[in-house]
Amino acid sequence: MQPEEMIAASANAVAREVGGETVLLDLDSGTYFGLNAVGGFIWSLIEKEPRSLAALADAVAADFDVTHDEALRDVTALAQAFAEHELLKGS
Amino acid sequence: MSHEPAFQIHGEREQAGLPAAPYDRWVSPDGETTAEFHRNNRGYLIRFPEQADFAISADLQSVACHPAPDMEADAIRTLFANSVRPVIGNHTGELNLHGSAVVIDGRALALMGLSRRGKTTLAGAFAKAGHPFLTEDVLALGQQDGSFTVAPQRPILRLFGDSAAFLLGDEPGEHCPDTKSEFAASAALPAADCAAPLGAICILGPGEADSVSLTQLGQAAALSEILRHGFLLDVEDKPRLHAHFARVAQLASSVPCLSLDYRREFSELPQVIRAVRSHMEEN
Repeated sequence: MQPEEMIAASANAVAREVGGETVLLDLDSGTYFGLNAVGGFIWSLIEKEPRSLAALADAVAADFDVTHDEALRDVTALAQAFAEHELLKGS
Repeated sequence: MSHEPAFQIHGEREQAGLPAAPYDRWVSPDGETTAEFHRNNRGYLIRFPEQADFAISADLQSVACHPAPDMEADAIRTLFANSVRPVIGNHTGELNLHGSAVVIDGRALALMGLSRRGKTTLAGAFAKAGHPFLTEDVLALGQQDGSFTVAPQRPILRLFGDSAAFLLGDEPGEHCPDTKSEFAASAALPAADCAAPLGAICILGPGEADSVSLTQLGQAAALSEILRHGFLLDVEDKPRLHAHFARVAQLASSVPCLSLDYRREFSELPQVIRAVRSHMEEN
């Protein structure tokens, strides 16, 4: 996945924040996933509108104590995991 | 639910093949299908293999049961009360979960876990120790003043023979060992007849702990655990699945959830009760 690639949350997945973590339910499969604080933050952004990986990394770097490059690595890895589990629009 | 669905039991009949594969099924931990869910032009049909078919009208207002041959009426009523009624209720916005509950000092303790994890036996042991049971199989949750409550269900415990002998002080071998029998509440095993605020949820583990183990789960872990114990009529109905998820998330956020494990020996139960009671007193 390239930094300019746009991703958006699938409408078939819903999320709830409980106890500082985010639990994601895939309505298609009934499978649920736990996201840490960064994962929940990224999900909350791509739930609202499509974002590029680079823009997501900017947002993560601004809110968490990491550099842009570190954030981009994390964002890319998470985006790939979302895609593998068909949690993104069009994935 | 605005009112209870009308329930009718018709004559027994063989379970003929159905035109399509089920869209959902319940499977026991040992891989046996315990229920199959079908749609037809009249609504839903839930088939309990070799037990009964329950046809649910599309408006959820009526349920017609055709028992399989030689099924007893009590078993049919149990299937309706413990499985069919809860799935219909959840479809209409209720929150019914699979589990037992007892009352400890005015607060309900819910016991959840996979089949054969000992929920009913533990509920019976609590009752025997003076903590009446509210339900043995269906946690019918309500909300009052922002808190969850557990409503009493049928004052019956369904027990395997060894559990019945232990709880009732009968001779081993006096009760059928391989099938569950119904035991009405009694002075020895009292039932509660009023709803109680839900104080805590215990998720029963597999029985691998060397000693009684009681640990608090985080809210996200609690949500994942509790989701496994819902009754869903239509897993393909996404708006309702979403709503059910939201209700369970609210429950996980507002009620402490504990992981409980212990060796499945009757001699362990008094210690389990002491540990849980002590935890409830301190929290």
